[in-house]
Amino acid sequence: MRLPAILRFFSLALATILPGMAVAAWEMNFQAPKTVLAQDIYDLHTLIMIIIVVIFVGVFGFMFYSIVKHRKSVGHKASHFHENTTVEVIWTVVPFLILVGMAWPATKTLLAMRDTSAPDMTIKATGYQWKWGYEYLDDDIRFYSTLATPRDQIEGAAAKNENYLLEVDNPVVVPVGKKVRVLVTANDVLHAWYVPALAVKQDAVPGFIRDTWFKAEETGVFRGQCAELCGKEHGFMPIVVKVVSEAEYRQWVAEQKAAAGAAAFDPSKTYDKAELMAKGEQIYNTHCVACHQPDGSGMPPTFPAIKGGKITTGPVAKHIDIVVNGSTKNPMMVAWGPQLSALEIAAVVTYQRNALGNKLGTVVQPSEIVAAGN
Amino acid sequence: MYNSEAAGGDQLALFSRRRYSMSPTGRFLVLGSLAAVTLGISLGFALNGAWPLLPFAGIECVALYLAFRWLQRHEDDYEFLTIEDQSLTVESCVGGTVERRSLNRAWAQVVVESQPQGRVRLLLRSHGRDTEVGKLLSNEGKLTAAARIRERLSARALTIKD
Amino acid sequence: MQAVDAHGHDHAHDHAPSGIMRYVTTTNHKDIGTLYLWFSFAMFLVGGAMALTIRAELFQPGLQVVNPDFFNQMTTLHGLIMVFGAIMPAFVGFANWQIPMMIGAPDMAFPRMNNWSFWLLPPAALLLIISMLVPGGSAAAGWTLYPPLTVQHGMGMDLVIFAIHILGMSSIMGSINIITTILNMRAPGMTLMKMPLFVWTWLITAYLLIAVMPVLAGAVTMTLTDRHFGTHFFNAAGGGDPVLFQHIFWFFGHPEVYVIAIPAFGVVSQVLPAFSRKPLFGYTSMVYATASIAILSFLVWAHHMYTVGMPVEAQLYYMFATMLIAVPTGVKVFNWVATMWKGSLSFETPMLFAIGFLFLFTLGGFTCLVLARSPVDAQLHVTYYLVAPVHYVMVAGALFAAFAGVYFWLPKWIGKMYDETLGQWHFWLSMIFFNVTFFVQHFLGLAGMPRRIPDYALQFADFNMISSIGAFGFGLSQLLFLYILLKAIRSGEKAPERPWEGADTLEWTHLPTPAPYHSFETAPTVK
Repeated sequence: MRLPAILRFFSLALATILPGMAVAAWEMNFQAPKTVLAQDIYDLHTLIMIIIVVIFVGVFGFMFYSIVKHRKSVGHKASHFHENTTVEVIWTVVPFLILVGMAWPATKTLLAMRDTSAPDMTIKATGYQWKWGYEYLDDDIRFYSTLATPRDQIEGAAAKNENYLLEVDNPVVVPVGKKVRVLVTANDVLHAWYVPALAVKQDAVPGFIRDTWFKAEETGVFRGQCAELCGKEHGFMPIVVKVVSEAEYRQWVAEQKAAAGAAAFDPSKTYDKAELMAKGEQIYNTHCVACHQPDGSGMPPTFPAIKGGKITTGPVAKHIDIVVNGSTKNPMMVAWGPQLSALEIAAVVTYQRNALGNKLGTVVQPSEIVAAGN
Repeated sequence: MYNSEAAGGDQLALFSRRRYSMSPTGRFLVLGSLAAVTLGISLGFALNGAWPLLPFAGIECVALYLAFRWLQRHEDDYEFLTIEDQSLTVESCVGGTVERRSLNRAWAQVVVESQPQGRVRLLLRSHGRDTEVGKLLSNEGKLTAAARIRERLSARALTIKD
Repeated sequence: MQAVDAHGHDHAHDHAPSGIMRYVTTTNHKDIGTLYLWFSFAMFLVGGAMALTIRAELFQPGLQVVNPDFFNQMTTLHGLIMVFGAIMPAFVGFANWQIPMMIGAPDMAFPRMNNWSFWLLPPAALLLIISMLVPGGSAAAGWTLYPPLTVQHGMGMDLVIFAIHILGMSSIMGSINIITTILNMRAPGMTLMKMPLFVWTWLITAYLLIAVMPVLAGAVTMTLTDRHFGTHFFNAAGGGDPVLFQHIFWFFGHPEVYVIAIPAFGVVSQVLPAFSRKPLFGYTSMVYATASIAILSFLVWAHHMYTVGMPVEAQLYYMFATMLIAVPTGVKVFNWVATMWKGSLSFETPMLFAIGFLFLFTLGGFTCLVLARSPVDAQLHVTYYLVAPVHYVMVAGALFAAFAGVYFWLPKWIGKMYDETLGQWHFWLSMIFFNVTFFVQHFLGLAGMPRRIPDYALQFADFNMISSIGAFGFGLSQLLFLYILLKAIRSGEKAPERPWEGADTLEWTHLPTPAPYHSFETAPTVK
């Protein structure tokens, strides 16, 4: 939908006159739209706002006139009319017509919004507690995307970054000007994939795949968040979409594939303890720390302690089992087998048994994880 | 207040009944529409797999039915009190059960009891047995009725003395 | 029990037992109304404390006050307690006090059931509060209780489910009582179309409650069986569908919005004409508009679910049906303004709150109109743009109407006047701080801040700080309300027989002030 010039003028005037003006922190309207659809929605909103403001001023103009002129204290005597069929019919029919008028552009935008046909590429986004997993179906790239803001910024021990809470380790990278279809699903509970500037929001429902699409008009980094309450760390699983040129995108794909090749490891290789501990600490701080806490004390009873915990100081086979397959008793402990590689699981188990106050000396090799059936 | 009162000589007839503003047809329609909507909604959801709505809708309909049945049963409640030459007769109908007691006029006593909640009970006492009357009346109604009955009873007592 | 003779005991009429037992055993509609109102006010303070915990955490970016899990429990319980513990009981309290007096009936149709429906509430409230103390904490999935998150919770969730069942029972009993009272116990001459609008709105509300309460009970029961008895209603792995819960919940939830709003319409429809000294404009169309809003409310539930990925045809239907609700709502607003037009207005506290209601509720209604447009909603759904209108409807709508009602009827109830100056202060403080709190949340939502997050990105910091300041101001202003009430009860000036010259319903024209403990034992005749 394109707005007539006069409405554009009004929307411009509205955007500039309102206080806060160009200061980003006092943003009073939608984020700057970066897709045609987002622009449509932006215009649709402006149009409705103008209609609403006109009606609002009209209706309450009458009310405030009455409040000023028809007060008892200025000696106004009450009339006794209490019906007027003509007026009542008018104010039933006219709003109805206005609503029908407003429905038309909304219908067009809605139809465009839900038309996910003929995409140039498809990405599957899976919500986990609490991170996003992405899979590029055309290029066979897959990775997880977790919050990159360090814990001490959240807890106030360090100054906050510019993109506090809206930064991730692995952003989604897409080419500019291409229709990207996003298949959205979830692994555990409801999540929602929401990037305001691209005008996409789709609930992620476990067990079902829904889709949405966007076609970015310009390059840049666009940030959003999980938009459906998904538990404790709901506020800490952002979405970052990096829109790049076609050439940069090709290069990125190539890099990803090369990295995936390099990461492939020899399961029979024996890693030394320092190597596993370093890797394990990194995994722990990405995936475990939110629940089991930086010092491993956990939040019993839902999130048991790692430090001196029953499982982390017990038989190693049980420890590996619960990390790989999750807990049967506590649904909060999910199966990490599908999400982490054998090397990563070996590393994190090793780390948990030799750090955070535990000193068992156990070193778990990836080959043991593979042997255990992962 | 007693709905009608007839007095002649030393005789007295008092009649009271309930007053409803809804007809039996009206009650049937209200109950029917509520039950139909409630059951319809839960049936719709049950067909989509959410059958646990049905028992709750059922319980609610039973509760509605009981409430309306209570209204229905007590619609025709009445009380008819007559004082004749020798006797004082109370005929009451509660939920379709008619009860009748005749007291010897000379022995009958009128007792007013005040209860918690500011309620007043009106009793006819004779031979150590109490019969509550005026259940359909307001407190003022009971007090007025008590005065009227006493007046009749003592009028007769005076006559006998002479 | 004592036997007395009739003479010299006319005062027995107004005698009532005192002390706590009076309230535990009471079947008097006025006592029960008072109980409902005080209970609701207590819950309002509890829910308000939870809201302030939320706003304290959101004062600044970062985690300072509570941990994220407790934050989620706060958002959940704040919603449940305010909806089921504060606002609904408040209007049931008004219904208990006013309906019998307004239709000329001596009491409710089933006085003993009335007692039970109140005394179910305190245990339910206690369960909600205790649920925070059990291992694992209370429900933390938002007041909408969407699975599968609720399946992960600890036993706090079971307590919440149980509490909801009890609250539902209470609502159903209350509704049966209200319907039978209104339909069966009207005074001679009080035809349906002569009933005050407040009575009409409650009749319609009670119908709504009866229709939707089993739906809520079923929904939470299915959550319970999914949690403990191996069913898979909401588990895709077992052939269920998490979205089914949302359909059931909102089939209850949307009419529930009107269960809260419609009695508020009723109160305002009594207050506005009284202080305009002019009859309500368009009484008949008001009744029909209210009934159509109620009927339409059953047909639009999925507009709360525009982003779950419904078929586009369904989405179009819900968009059109939702917009239709604006027509009868508009009729009501126009009628209210026309009631004031050419009246002889005065601005005592009840009138101020009624005008505040009219102004802010309409503003909230307009933003709902924005949200009705599915594509726009898809952008604003579950952001703060949703939090703002919800509170415009619940706080500026229902709560302001309840305040208007309390100030309006307080002289009739207790026979004493409130302090008018303090009442006006209460209004202006509430009005200003309410808008400071919630108006800015529209901007947060537009800019993309999701709701129910304990911490947020830096671009949202300024408006959040303003909103938190407003929230604390609003909360403290309500303590002033408590003070005004206590002052009126303890040392208020004696109220005149007709404190509001424009009020013309039966309780004002046919009963002394304060209203006697037993009123209309003999039905008045209405001409």
